[in-house]
Amino acid sequence: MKRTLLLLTMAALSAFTGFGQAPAAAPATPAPAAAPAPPAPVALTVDDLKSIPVPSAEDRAKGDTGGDKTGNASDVAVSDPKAGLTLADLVNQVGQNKVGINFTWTLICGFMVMFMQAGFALVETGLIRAKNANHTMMMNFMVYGAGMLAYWFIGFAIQMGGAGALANLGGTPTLTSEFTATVFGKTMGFWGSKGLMLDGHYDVGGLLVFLFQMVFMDTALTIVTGTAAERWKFTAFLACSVVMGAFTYPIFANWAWGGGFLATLGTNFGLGHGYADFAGSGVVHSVGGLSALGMGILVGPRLGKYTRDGKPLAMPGHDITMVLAGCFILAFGWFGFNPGSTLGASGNGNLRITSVAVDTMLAGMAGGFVAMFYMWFRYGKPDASMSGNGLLAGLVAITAPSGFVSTTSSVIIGLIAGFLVCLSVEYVEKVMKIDDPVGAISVHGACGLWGVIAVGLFADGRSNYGGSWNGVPGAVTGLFYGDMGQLVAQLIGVATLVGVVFTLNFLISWVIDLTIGQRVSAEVELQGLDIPEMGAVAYPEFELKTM
Amino acid sequence: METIDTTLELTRQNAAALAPLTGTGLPALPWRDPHNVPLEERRSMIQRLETACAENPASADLRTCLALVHAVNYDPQQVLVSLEKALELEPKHFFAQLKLAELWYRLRALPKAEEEALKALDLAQNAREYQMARAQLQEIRKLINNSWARPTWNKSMASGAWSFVALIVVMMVVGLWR
Repeated sequence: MKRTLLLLTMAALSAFTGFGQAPAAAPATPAPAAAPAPPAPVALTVDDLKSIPVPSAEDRAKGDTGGDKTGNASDVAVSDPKAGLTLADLVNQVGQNKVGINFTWTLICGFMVMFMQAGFALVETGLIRAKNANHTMMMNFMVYGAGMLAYWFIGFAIQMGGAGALANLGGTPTLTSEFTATVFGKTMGFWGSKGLMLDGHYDVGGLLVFLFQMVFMDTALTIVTGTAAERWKFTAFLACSVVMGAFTYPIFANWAWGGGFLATLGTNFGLGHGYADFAGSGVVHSVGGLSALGMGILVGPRLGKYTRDGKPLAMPGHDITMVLAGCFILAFGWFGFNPGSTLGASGNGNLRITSVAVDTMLAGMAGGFVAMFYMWFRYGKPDASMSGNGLLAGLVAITAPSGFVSTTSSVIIGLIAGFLVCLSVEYVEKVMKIDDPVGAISVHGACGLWGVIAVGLFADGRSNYGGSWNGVPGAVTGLFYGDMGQLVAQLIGVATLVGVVFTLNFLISWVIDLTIGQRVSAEVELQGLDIPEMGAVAYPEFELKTM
Repeated sequence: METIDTTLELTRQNAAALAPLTGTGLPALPWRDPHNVPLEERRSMIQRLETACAENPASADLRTCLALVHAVNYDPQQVLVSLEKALELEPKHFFAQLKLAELWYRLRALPKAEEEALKALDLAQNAREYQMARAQLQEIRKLINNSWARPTWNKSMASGAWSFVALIVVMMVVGLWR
């Protein structure tokens, strides 16, 4: 009886208080108050502008110790001094501020990318023997000039001659001439032709594009010097660099970034957003890595690299501190490489530069860690040079996807790259019998291709740089987020890189081999390239213990 | 030219002519700076020694001589071929073994050089040979300690490759399942 009463009491209480009931449709918490109405727009008049207080001349003469007097209405450029500050002046200043921020951002990032040459020089020189240090340093130094002049002469026109206006940089459309052909009933671009020697191209935005693209191109060129180090004839190196800066690199860069046929795979064939390569895993690194592969095949292994039965032998480098310092410089420069590829920091979704930067740092170190542990488990020690290669592999792989993926994806991409580079270095040396003293083929070639594919898998559809990419509205979305077409576009890019870029570059290098020869004589190689090729050793004051 | 002719003649007559001279323990080969030997002379030496080797196919000494001339001619691949042939003919040939170690040392394949120098040390028959092999080993080890290199890729790639494939499969399954 008591139990029945207790149950009835509880049922009554629960009915009263609502305990045990299904959730009511109405929210338990009080309904939020209606959002306050947005403030009525305030009309800004010319009189308002004129009444803005500015520091007096006397105040200015005292200096600005507090930092609150510098930068005010008096700093806005006035088009007509008689009329004073107008609304048009104000709006123009806002627009120029936006573009100015983008210019400054892109320039600084370009300078950082240029400094990556120093990183490459240190990595490559540290990984080779001291008797070739001057030669390797000189290749990394002069590739900058040789590539730059070739790119200025014709390369830039081929790559960006038909790219059109870039909204982030003010949108002045001076690059308007793309050679097109109709293939499969669609108009496709193949090379640009405006901007030869920058002639008739005296435009601030266009010159900024030149500077930024030039340092990217030089990065691709310097990759090859690592693979062919210690046996590449300096004259042949110069010839190859000029040809690559003038033709090979710009052609693929046009297809991907200059409005060429890969970029229009989306608009022409509905394959996602066309080939998407945010900062150049394919355009820069794979082109460099595949060119290095061709060069490695052509010049052959260093004397003593393989036994007669084809077993690879470890050959000493001469300065591991140089290698790791170079890796750090490269990792720093990559913050210019990837985030800088937005070509702006203001407007059009460009504040995603933080996402790009964080993705970059995460993927790089994920790659470094995996490579370190891989070597530790397999060979008993956490090998320093392979850890450095792992870092670079992660950075290379995240270069294409950095603008389109989440942080978790970037770590996965970096992890796979770190694993891939270790396998690839071993495969290239043991199975392919190609001597690559610095591992450039694996770091830039293999991991660059992985980065291109990763866009087609991991792009999460949340990036929106001005509403479209490659002329296709919406954000780039990979297979894991529902767009198979994007992966197909990326795979077409990979096929183009391997089938066309590698072949083209190999044939050109082969012709150079037939004419001036790619490889130094055995005598020069055994002596070291510094004296015969450069006329001076790198370390004249010291005993060469590891030559 | 005179030197090599003399050597050839001696070798043809008796391989023992290259045996250590009394008291010194060194072969009777005067030293010449390789940079001062003209190309034609080097080619001629190689041709003559190759002929001698063909006439005396069992002579490890001649193969070692041929290797030395190839070395003067900056042709490490042929040096390797000749020295390995010499060791094939006479596995306990100290000088062939010592020169093989020196070749790898000069090519800076240091772990391999150390391995070959240790073999030379085992083949040493007298104090002089022992001292030569030991000095070479010391030099190689000094260089190993003063440089660094990646590990020699001497393990199977299978486990690494399969792990990588498994990683990719897991990634694809998880990615598509989501």
